[in-house]
Parts: sequence; C-alpha cells; structure tokens
Amino acid sequence: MSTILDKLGQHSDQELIDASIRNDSRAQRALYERYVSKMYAVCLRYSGSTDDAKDLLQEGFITAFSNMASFSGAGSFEGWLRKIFVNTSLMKIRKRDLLKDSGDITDYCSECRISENALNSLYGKDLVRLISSMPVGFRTIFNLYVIEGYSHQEIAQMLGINEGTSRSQLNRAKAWLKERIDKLNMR
Amino acid sequence: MMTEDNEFEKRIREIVGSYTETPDEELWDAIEKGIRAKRRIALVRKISIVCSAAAAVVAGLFFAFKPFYSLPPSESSVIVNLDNLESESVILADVVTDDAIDAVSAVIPNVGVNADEDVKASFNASVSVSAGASESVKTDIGAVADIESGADYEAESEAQSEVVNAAETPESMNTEEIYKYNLYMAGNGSDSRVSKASNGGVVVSASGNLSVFGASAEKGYQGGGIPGFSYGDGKDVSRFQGISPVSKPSHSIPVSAALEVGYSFLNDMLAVGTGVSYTYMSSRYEAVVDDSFQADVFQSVHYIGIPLTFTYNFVRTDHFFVYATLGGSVEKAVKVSYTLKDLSNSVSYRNGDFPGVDCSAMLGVGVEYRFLKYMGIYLNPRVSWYFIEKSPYSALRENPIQVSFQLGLRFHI
Repeated sequence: MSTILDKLGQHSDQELIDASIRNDSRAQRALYERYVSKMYAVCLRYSGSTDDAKDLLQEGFITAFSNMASFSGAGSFEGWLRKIFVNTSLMKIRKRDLLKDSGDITDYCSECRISENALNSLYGKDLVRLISSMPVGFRTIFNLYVIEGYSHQEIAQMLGINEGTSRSQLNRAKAWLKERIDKLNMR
Repeated sequence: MMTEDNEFEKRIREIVGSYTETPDEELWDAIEKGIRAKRRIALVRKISIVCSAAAAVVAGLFFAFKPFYSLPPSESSVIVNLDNLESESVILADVVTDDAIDAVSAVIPNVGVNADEDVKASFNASVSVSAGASESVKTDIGAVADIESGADYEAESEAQSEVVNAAETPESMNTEEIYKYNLYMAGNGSDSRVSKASNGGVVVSASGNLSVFGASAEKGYQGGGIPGFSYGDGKDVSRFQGISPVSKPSHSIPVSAALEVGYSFLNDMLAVGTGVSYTYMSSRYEAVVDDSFQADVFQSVHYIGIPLTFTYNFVRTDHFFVYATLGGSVEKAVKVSYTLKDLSNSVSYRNGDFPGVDCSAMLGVGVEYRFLKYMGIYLNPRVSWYFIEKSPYSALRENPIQVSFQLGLRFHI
C-alpha cells in the first residue's frame, strides 16, 4: 500500500489537477509540494517581508485550489499558477493602496554599469532579497516588466499609473539594483 | 546600452527563474483550512440560490394554481340559509347582497328574501352560491327547488343522514320545513369544494426512502491513476479511526425510513412537519490501516436524523393531492462498524466514533392518493444536498447531491 501512496508524487500535473478538482486532499497536497518552492520565491519578490510573502503564498494557493476547475489546460500549469500569485499580489497592493505611499528611489547611480563578474556570481537568494527590499511601486513594476514580461502599457493599466511613470520607475529600479549587486559583489 | 540592458534583464530573469525557496511546513495546514472555508462559502451561496429559486417556484405555483375549492369571485355571492340548528355547518362564504339574493331567488324560489329573518338567524348551515356559478352548481341548488315538484333528494351531514321525500309541494310546507335538513352540495361536481372546511389537522406519516445514486464505480485508480476520493473537508475523518480509504470504493445505495408528524393549516394548503429518520449505508474499499497495513474494509453506518419539512399543496382534488416540499435534516452517525481483512486474510473488527452532526437540504414534489378519508399513500421524488463534514467516508461524500424516492402512508387526524 505504501507503493500506492508513493505514486502520488509520480503523477502528472493533469492527473493531480483532476483529482484536486474532486477535492482530493492528497492530490492538492502533492500539487502544493510540487510548486510551493517556486511560488514562494515569486511571493518573496512581490512582498517586502517573509511574513507578507507567506500570507501571499497562502492566499494564492487557496485561490488556485478554489478555482482549479478554471484551468483550461492551455499553457503550463506553472504559468497559470504564477499568474494567480501575481494577480493576488497586485490585488493586495491595490486593496491596501500601497502604491500611494510607496517610497522613492533616490540613492542610485544612473550612469553606473554593472560588471559581468557581479552578475555571474550573484546568488538567487541575494537577488530576490534585493528586489524585495525595493519600495513597493518600483519592486512591482520591476517584477512585472523584467520577470513577468508585461509591457509598460499593460503595467500602466494594471497599476492605474501612466506609461511614463512605469518607464521612469523601471529605469530607476534597474539602476538601483545594478548598484546594489555591484556592492554585494565587492564584499 | 540597449544590448547591455537587455543582457542585464535576461540574466536577472535566469537567476530569478531558477531560484526556489521552501517555506515553513505549517503553511499547508493554514492553506487547507482556507480551502475548506472557501468551499463552505461556495456551498452556502449555492444553497441560497437554490432555496431562493425553490421559494420563487413555490410562490409562482401558489399564484398560478390557486386551490380549487374557491368559487368564482362574484359580487353577488349570497348565503342561502338552509338548515336548522343541530346539523353540522357547511359554510363556504358569508357575503350577502341584495343582488345576490335576487339572483338566487331566480333559481330557488321561496328562498332568501322571503325567508323569515328569525329563521335566517337561527340557521347555522349555509352554502355560498355565486351568481356566476356554473350550471351544475345551479342544478345542485335547484335540487332544493325540486321540492316544489316533489322530487326526492338526499341530504347528508356528518351528524345525520336522512332522505326527505318532498312529496308535498313547497306551498304546503312552511319555510322551516323546507330548510330543515343539511344539504350536501356537490358544487362543480367536486366533493372537495363543499367538504368540511378544515382549519388544520395533524398528519402522521411513515415512509421509506431509496436513493438513486449510491454505488460508485471504481474511481481513478486505474493503470496507475490517482484514487479520486473526496473527503469533503480535505481532512479525512476516517483517519481519526486509523483507517484511510485509498482505492476501489463501492457504495451501496443509501436506504432510509422515517416517521414524521406534521400540522397542516390554511385548509390543508400548507403543512410543516418533523420527526425522526433512520438511514443505513454500507461501503467497501481498500484502505491503509493505522499507517501500517493494507486491508479490505467493509464499513456500515447507521444514521439517525431529525427532518424538518414544509409542504405546499398546489393541486387538490377528491383523492389526489400534488405538492411541493422543502426542508432539511440534521443527522448523526450513531453506529459505525468496520470489518477489516488484511492481505493475509485475517479478519478484525472495529467500531468508529464520529461526534458531531451533519446537515442536508431537500427539495421535492410529491403526489398523494387518499384512498380513505383519513389515510393516503404518497410518492415523493426529491433532490437532497448533503453537507458532510463530520460523518464517515460514504456514498454521500462522493455524491453529496442525491436523488431519491420516498414512498409512505399518511394519516390525517
């Protein structure tokens, strides 16, 4: 019988999804185990702290499992799941009106260039922590443009800002990040 | 610069894309709780919609199918006082107008206007005749007029039954004699139209109930598929007993019996009832027991429930009644037994303890055939929704929406 239980981990995403739609708690757990690490990393990028990231992770998975039946199968499940987490974090930002009091990035070098070595020796954990430490507005725009691949027009619509703001904040965010990565490399 | 920028973004994406971090273990418990809560909310929302729709249907039926006992409305309704003090009253309406009296007088001479006021006042039996009444009603009432021609007529009452031979012409009979007996008026050919007006009554019913959906085919575990069991709340209650269903479920059709007492009012139009019900379910499945061995399990569950039902009769004839019912029930698994047979064919037994109760909601339509005045047989197909949280794994967990047929006897006291 332990063989049967072990097999849960060997099932395809679609099989686990079908079982989750039928409220099979073990299939839901298996899906959770499969994607929690990646999604937690997504949540860390959008949140300013680990506590916020955990809240976001919890909300995102509850939303995903409650709406599992809406996954059409077009595209990867991971991509669908990631969209849910991104949307959940954006809803939280809008709900709390976080963009309104988002801080500004002033201490950055606009002309500075980042060394090849700095990027190559950059660990994911450090990068995610750096992104997470940005003010919420810059962090969100940076994530949406650089990582998720949205255009400035789409970002402007999603955040209720204008395109110019999206562009300028992105540039400042990138400059700030480059400087921080360089400093990290020099330690 | 552009290329450098693009390279920077690309590199950032690569690093971020490959990074993963695992949160605390306890997070899954919170997520599971959240999923259960959301499911409960969605269920409550669905039930509210269904109940609202059912209420709208019942209300629509109420306005579309008014009980047939009501006579055509007429401003000319009149009381025709017909009988003496001792007989049972047969009262249908009590509106008296001069126009109505004129109208009835045309049908029944010597009635109404010419009746002595004292005689009228002493009558306690009356029949309402609408000026717009059908010919058959007029014919029935005209039976009184046949006194004039000496025709026999038969009079019935609950207290007495007499045949009056009206051989004498009305002219030879005084007013009191003409109106001496209760007349049983079969207006419109339907006895129920003049049957004794009921202000309410007690109903006792005994029934058996058989669900259509019960047995489930083997789910999911075919060629390596996932056992597709649903435990409702994500937490398998059976685990509390050390038994975790895993595969090959087979459920017998749920069978139940009930004894209900109800009270009907508004001329048997509405009724509310409660009582006690018993349901039996059995299941077979493969399970992991105490996380240590596999076993074939035979599970039997006995439920006791307390139903509450509301009934609306929207079609009523002499013998047939068609009605809609809406209600719910609270049920508890009072006895749960497991027979376990492991891979070495050793058999052991366990009892389960499932504290707490579960609820269900029900919507149905029914038909009753009243073959005796106080007794009828009924068939009630219905749809039930079961909200299983505390009960063992069963057919109801896999199919919480059940269609069933209730057959029973009803005693009207």
